[in-house]
Amino acid sequence: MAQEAILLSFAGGVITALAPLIYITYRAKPTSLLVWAGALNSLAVGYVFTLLVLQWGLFYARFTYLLALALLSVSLVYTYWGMLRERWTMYLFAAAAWVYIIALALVAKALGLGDPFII
Amino acid sequence: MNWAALLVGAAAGMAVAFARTYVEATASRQSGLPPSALFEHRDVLVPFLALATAANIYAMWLIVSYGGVAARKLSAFIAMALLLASQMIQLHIALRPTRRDLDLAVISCAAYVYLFALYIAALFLRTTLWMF
Repeated sequence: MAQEAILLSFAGGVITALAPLIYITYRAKPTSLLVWAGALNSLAVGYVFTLLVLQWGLFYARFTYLLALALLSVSLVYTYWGMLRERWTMYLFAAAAWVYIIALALVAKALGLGDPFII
Repeated sequence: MNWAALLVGAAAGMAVAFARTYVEATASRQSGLPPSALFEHRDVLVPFLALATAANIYAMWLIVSYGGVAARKLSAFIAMALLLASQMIQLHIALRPTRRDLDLAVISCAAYVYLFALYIAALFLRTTLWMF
């Protein structure tokens, strides 16, 4: 079951990373370092998003879980915006989701809780 | 319905489509022409490659999971061989773009025609899908 979740999450990450890359190469725009960095971020966002969605039955009533899903979706939109318009400042907004998830994990570790979704 | 086969198939299909667009962009940079001038059917072929690879992987899961291979049925092995050949042709379309790409894409649909004919025949003859 855990291996299937990892396989599904990886597939989700590959799908979210390749969607803007296909668009950019189809339009024959140059793929700069900025675009590859955005693709790497959308791979990680898609992986974590799918991993969290697969735990829906356990956490659907927790505010922090729903906020994490919403922030990851918004982060993906900002990453796509930064990739397509070549604006690195959008990546600063996209980093908000990672700041939030890392803060949740750190709080859960400091309090010794079993899962990061406290409320 | 198998979400793992569906998602892995979609990811693999998008990887194949990305390979095609990447090779097209490289060829257009080397020749100095826009890709739409070099490959006139690319608007059909890029989505076709994504969908067809996803369909191949999902159909492979269907064949393996519904007992045709386990029962050593010839019809199931023919379907498997046709799907493998279809995937090879589609990888060739993706990695070596030529002017005959649309013909190759139509040829690679033989596997789906075979599976659909088998399905219709099984419906009318009221047998299982793997009839011989």
